[in-house]
Formats: sequence, structure tokens, C-alpha cells
Amino acid sequence: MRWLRAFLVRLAGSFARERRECEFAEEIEAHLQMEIEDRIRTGMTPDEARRAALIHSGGLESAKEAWRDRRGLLWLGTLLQDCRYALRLIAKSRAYSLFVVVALALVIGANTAIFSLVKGVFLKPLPGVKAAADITIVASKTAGGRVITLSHPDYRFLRDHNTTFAGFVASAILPCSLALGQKAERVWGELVSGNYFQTLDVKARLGRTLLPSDATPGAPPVAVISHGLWEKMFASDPQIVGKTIRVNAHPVVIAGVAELGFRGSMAGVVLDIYVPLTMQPELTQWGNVLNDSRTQWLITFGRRKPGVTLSATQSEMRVLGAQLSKNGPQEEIDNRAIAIPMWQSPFGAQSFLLPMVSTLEFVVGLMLLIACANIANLVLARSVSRRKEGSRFPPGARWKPQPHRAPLLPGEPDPFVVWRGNRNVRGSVAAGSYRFGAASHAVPRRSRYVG
Amino acid sequence: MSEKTDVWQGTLALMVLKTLEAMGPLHGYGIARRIEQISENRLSLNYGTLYPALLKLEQEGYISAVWGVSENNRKAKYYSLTRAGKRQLHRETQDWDATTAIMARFLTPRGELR
Repeated sequence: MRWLRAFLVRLAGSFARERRECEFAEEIEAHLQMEIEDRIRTGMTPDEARRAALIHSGGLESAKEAWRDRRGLLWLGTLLQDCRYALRLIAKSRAYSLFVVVALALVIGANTAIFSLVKGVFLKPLPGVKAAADITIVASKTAGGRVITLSHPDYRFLRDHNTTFAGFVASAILPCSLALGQKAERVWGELVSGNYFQTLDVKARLGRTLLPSDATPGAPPVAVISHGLWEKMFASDPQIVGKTIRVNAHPVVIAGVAELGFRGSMAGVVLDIYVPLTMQPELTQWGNVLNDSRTQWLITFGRRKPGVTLSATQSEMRVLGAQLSKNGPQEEIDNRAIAIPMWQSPFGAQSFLLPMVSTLEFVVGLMLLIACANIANLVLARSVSRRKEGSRFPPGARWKPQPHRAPLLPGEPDPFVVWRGNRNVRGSVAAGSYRFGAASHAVPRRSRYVG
Repeated sequence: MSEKTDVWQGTLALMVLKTLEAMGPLHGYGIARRIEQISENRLSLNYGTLYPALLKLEQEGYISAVWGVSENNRKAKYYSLTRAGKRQLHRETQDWDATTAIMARFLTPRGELR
């Protein structure tokens, strides 16, 4: 743990440099003076004593440099200096920086936009549904390879015989004409099985959600409406629960309002009203198909039990699908039950967005690359045009001071100060100015003092 | 000056700790003088060696530093051993003894090594 302590202390030591530097300068100055006094006491002249003490010290500046290396985290200091340097360069050439920023901002914006689409459609296909990745679509496949929906008897069979789903749901999209008094609205709704809300884990904002008992023959006609519809059509009426509206000219009692954010079980489509699918004969024009295994009208999906993989579901569905085929009447169906992850759903917006979005994602990725290449070219062009400025550095100026530098005598110009004074000449290029340890020939006189 | 030996960082830390244990709180100059005297001037400590070593020990918590006033009325930073420093000194002394004992066995010609 000692190294951790030392690391933290050094991290702290990377800040408040000036104060620490001053303190250290004071400390070694005291050291030097004590040594000089001691030497004078042994009979040296003050000048000799000072000189001997300075030689003995090994160089105050190099001591400071060694101490600095140990005090803070060197790389952190360098990093901060680089950042300052970068900021200064940005401030210096505003038009150039602006161009680079705008170029990058545009492509990054495009990437973000497309990624939001990807996220909306594929990563979080069902807003308001928790752990939507566990939702798996079950469909049947024709001999021609087309993926189609299931019939109600098929759904009941799969619901009652599967072991990998915690809940297995059927739904069908239903165009609805809603009417309440003088108000009327055309919306998309959903005919759903009774376990729909429990399986999707969607709660009610008001009243209750649908229950399995609502989808039994003879149950009173009820419906749940979306939060959006509640706000739009009913002006967030808190008394809405229990009111009767007409859905496709049939009276239905509103049992509840779904929680905010939930928009039904189909990606890319807003479904505003959820009605038990046992009401299909009343609400649709195509007669009673609840017991007809030739009419395939239900999108079915289930929530996999925790720990059950997609492939386990897929193999189970293959087995159950084979059983269905044996009993079922339709020979043109190749596979009666296949499991598909939600993001690949053949029924929602995914089906037509998947190829488009993958192309777009590729294109914007390419755009980002092109922008980076452009900027790299620009930087290169600039550095070529600024090549001459390199000769402004004194030959031999380096990022590290040379190890054996002559001690600095008091009164002698500190190379640190000299270089700072030269800043105007060098412009902002040498922003890390004091890191340019003065090479010995920058102040050539000093070599004379080396013993 | 060429006959003077360079000080290894590791051994310097041990020397500093030992010096502080023997002498009590001491400033950098005092530590340097003491180490040079004990070595009969065969070691020469320049600032660039001594102060980073002191700083490292301080960062590791083995020594602590406070500003004080020296015998000739000069403001100086005094270093003293902490409890962790005492433990560390004990540990390092043992390590050093073990190492030197092993090295001594290698370097002194004896029958059983041949």
C-alpha cells in the first residue's frame, strides 16, 4: 500500500507547483548557506567556500530537476502542458480550429443520429418494456421461406406446451375507430391475449391492466389505453377508468391506462388501445377466427425464462412445430414454429429498417473516416508550411536538461528566465517553455565554472 | 573526486533512515554531512541525489518534514522518522544483513565453495 500512498502524494504534488518549487528552492538555499558557513569556518575565503559548496552540490538546477521528477507525476505534468499547448494553438488559429471542429461535429452528429435509430429499432425495440432482449418472436415459415403469423389454435398449443417461456403472448394489430360522445379518433390498437401486460411487465398508470380472465369467453368487454391516447383524446382525465367508449362501434369499458412510455409490442408503430383477443369476432370484419387453424393472424412472442438461451427456445419450438405440422391441415407450411429474437422481428419496423439502417451505419462510419483523413491531411499541410519554424529552436534545446550542467552561480542569468524572456520570438510554439532545459551552449560562458 | 563512490538509491534510503534514528530530527544538510562523515568522506551526496531520496521517503510516509530553525538561526526543513519509518528501518536492516552475509560467503574464498 506504500506505493499507493506515494502515488497519491505524487498526484497531489502535480498541482500547486509554484509554492512547492519555492519551498524547495528555499530548502536547498539554506543547505547551501549552511555549507558555505561551515567551509568559511574551516578557513576558506567566502568566495572559495561558495565555489566549493556549489561544486559539491552537483548543481542546483539539476537538483531541482531531479526533485521535480520525483515530486509529481512527470507524465501528468507533461500531459497538462501538452493540453495547455494544444489550447493555445487552437486559440491561435481560430479559423483552422473552427473548420476542424465543424467537420468533426457534422460527421459525429450524423453518426449519433443513425445510432439513435439503431438503438431505437434494434437495441431497445419496445419502449417501456423491461429486458426486451428476452422477448422472442415465434412465427411459422412457409415452404417458400416467407415468415408468417400463427393461428389461434397454434398459439394455444404453443402456450400450453412450451417450457422455455415465462409467458407466451399473442397479439394482432387492429385498426380502431374510437368514439366517446362527440369525440372520435382513428388509432391503431392491438388485440392481445390476457397475459400480455404481465409478460411484458408493463404496469398500469391508472386502473388496472388486462388480466387473463378478461380474455375468457363471456368476460365483459374491457380495454386498456396507452398513456399517449389518454393525454391526447381524454385530456388526461383522472376519471377515465370505468367510462365506456365505442371501439369499432362496440361498447368497451376502459379498465386502465398503461404506464408512460409503453407503445405496444411492435417496434416503430404506436399502438394506443389494447383489447382482449376474445373480442375479435365483434371488433373485426372477418368473422370468428378464434378456433380456425387456417387463419393465421396472430403475432406471438414470449419472454424467455431467466437463463434460457435463444437457441434452447429455438430447438424447443422446432420440436413443437413438428408436432403442430403432424396435426395441422396446411401442407404448404414448412415449419410451424420458429423462434426469432425481437430485434429481427419480421413484423415490426425492424423488418424493413434492418437493411436500410445497416447501410446507413456503414455510410456514416465511412464519412467519419473521410473527415478524419481530411483533417489529417490538413494537419500535414500545415506542418509542411510551418517547417521553417523548426529552426527557431536553438540547436540542442531538448525536453530534458542535460545531466551534468554547471551549477548556477547566484547572479548569473537563470536559463529558465532567459528562455521565458524569449517567448515572443518563439511564439506560442514553445508553450512548454520551461521544459526546454537550457543546453549548455545556450549560455556558453557557464562551462568555465565546471571544475 | 574520482575515488568517491556513487550512492545507490536503495542504500541511501537506508542510510537516511539510520541517520535520522541515530540523530533525531535533522535538516538535509545535516543528513548529508552525517552520511559523508560516517563514510569518512568516501561518499559524496549532491543535492540531486539526496533531495529526491528524501522526497521519496516522505511520500512513502517513512519520514515527515517540518520547517524549523537551525542552530545558526536559519530557516530549514527538519526531517524526522515516523513510526512506519522505524519499522521500515528495522526491516531493511535485516534484509541488508542477510544480503551482505550471503555476498560475504560468496566473496570470501572458503573450502566448501570450491
